[in-house]
Amino acid sequence: MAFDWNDLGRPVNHDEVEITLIGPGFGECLVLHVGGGRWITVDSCVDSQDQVDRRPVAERYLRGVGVDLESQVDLVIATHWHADHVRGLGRLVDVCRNATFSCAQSLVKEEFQVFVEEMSTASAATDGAKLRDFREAIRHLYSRQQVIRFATAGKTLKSWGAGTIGHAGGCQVRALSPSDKEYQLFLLEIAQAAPKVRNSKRSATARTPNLASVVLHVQFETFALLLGADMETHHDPLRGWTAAILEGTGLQVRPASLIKVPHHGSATGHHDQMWSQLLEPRPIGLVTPFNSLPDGKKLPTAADISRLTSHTSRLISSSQRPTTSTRGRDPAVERSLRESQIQIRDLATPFGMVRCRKQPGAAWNFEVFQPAAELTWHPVNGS
Amino acid sequence: MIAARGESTATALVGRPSFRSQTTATPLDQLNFLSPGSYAKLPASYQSGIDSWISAKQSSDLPIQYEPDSFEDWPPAPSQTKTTQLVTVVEGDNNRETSHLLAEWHGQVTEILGDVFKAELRGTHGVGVVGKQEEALIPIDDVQPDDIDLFVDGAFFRLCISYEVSATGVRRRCTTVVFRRLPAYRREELEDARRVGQEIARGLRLE
Repeated sequence: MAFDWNDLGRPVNHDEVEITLIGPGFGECLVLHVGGGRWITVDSCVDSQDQVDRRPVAERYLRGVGVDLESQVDLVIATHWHADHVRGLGRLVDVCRNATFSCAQSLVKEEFQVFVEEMSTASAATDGAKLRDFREAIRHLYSRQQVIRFATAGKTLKSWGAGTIGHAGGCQVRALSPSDKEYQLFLLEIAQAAPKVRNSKRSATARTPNLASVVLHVQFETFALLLGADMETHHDPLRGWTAAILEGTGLQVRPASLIKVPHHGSATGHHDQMWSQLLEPRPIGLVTPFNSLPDGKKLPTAADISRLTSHTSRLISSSQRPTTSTRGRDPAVERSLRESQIQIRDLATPFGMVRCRKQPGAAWNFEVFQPAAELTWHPVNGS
Repeated sequence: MIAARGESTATALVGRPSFRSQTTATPLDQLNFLSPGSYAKLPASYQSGIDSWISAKQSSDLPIQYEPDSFEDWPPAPSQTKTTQLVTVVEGDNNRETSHLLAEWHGQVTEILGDVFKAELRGTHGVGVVGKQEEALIPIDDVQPDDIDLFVDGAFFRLCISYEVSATGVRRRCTTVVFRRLPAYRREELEDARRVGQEIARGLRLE
């Protein structure tokens, strides 16, 4: 089925769990129906192919399937402040006005709020799109005194009782990261990046927010989900996946049967123990593609797909891998770029969606909205 | 006088410094293209011509420098352009050149990586370029030593590809990275920002 905002199919049933991954466009977004008409959104992006409607895709999707955002969205989560995860976040927080907002603790600390305001001084020229959406979201939360449940490793962000969501056992959303060490390092990094008097104004740039992103574990009575955000591995056991895995095993979380693959399926997002300790054998994998510079590779690479398909029963990508599109440019421009050794890649990738629904006691049912597609591994040249 | 300009340029193509003639509506900052080094190499008679032209500009109603309200507004929108008079520096009868812009992007440096830097681009001019959001890897060689103080994470620049035609009809392509010299952070505004940031952080309803 081709992706069409005007044809999103039937609304979810009251007792169904739904996880829908939308994107990548400019970023990615995930919405989750935990049952009983209660919804969570994770990250935010806009449809890069639609130059007219710039609303966040979570809003467009939920309205499209008949959800009242004001009364039915309980939790809005921003896993980290990378631009490809927060586009439209301000608007999303605005329209989900009764939802609890959740992000890493470091992002609501005074140090980061001061950094956001400093980078936004005098002119919007200096903050680009990077902090604008996050700043707008925080300002809505501040002015409305909306609850922010900040995320730290091991903390429950939201739970619903069985009576609330229409199926036995209820649901619990927990953060497995960021670790305490990551929290400290992030604040230190922000202090170093803070603008100084007489320095030329500039845009905010994110150095290592992936390690400070929020990995989520969503537990139901008979199954669980692992949402890997952009978490990556790190040699320090107190950082990255090693720390998140330690947290998860310490909490004795249920191994998940479905994973939103971390960091676009990259090798840096892979950790063997994540697969062996936080997941059931051969879970279902959902992944969003991404252009990876500077090495020029597109994620997931062929090697990534090979690795991921060996770990999963099914691997579904929300879109095709981005192409290096030069179509339409003047040939003289192409020659100049080549001669100057300048590589340019389109950030906007074809926009798709994969929707997984599950009735209590039944298997997952998949709907793939093209260009979303199931990824399979075909060895080439004996590899 | 040249140092007063709001930006400086780095040109991938090595060539003799030259003036570009502009007869159409042109953003003012496109006229500011000479680096201090190339200015210094010009004969004194040319320098005085340039100085008097800049003095005339500075005494006119229109400001030479344009300070944008936002990244998207830079360079000036069409309403903030002016029709410039023909500016010609004669280096002999055959040295008059015309420049034709083929493609232009606005960029922000997102990461500096050894011998290249990574940037986000937004296409603003050219077939197949306008409106696209792209990511680029650009050799650091394209950054002139004059621009090193501007070349930091988060710096704004413009990438232009044009071709120049000499009076004798010789055409050459030119790739240019133009770094933007934004105003500096002032103590008062950082103090204000700190106060607002602290107030917001302390007023959030955290659980």
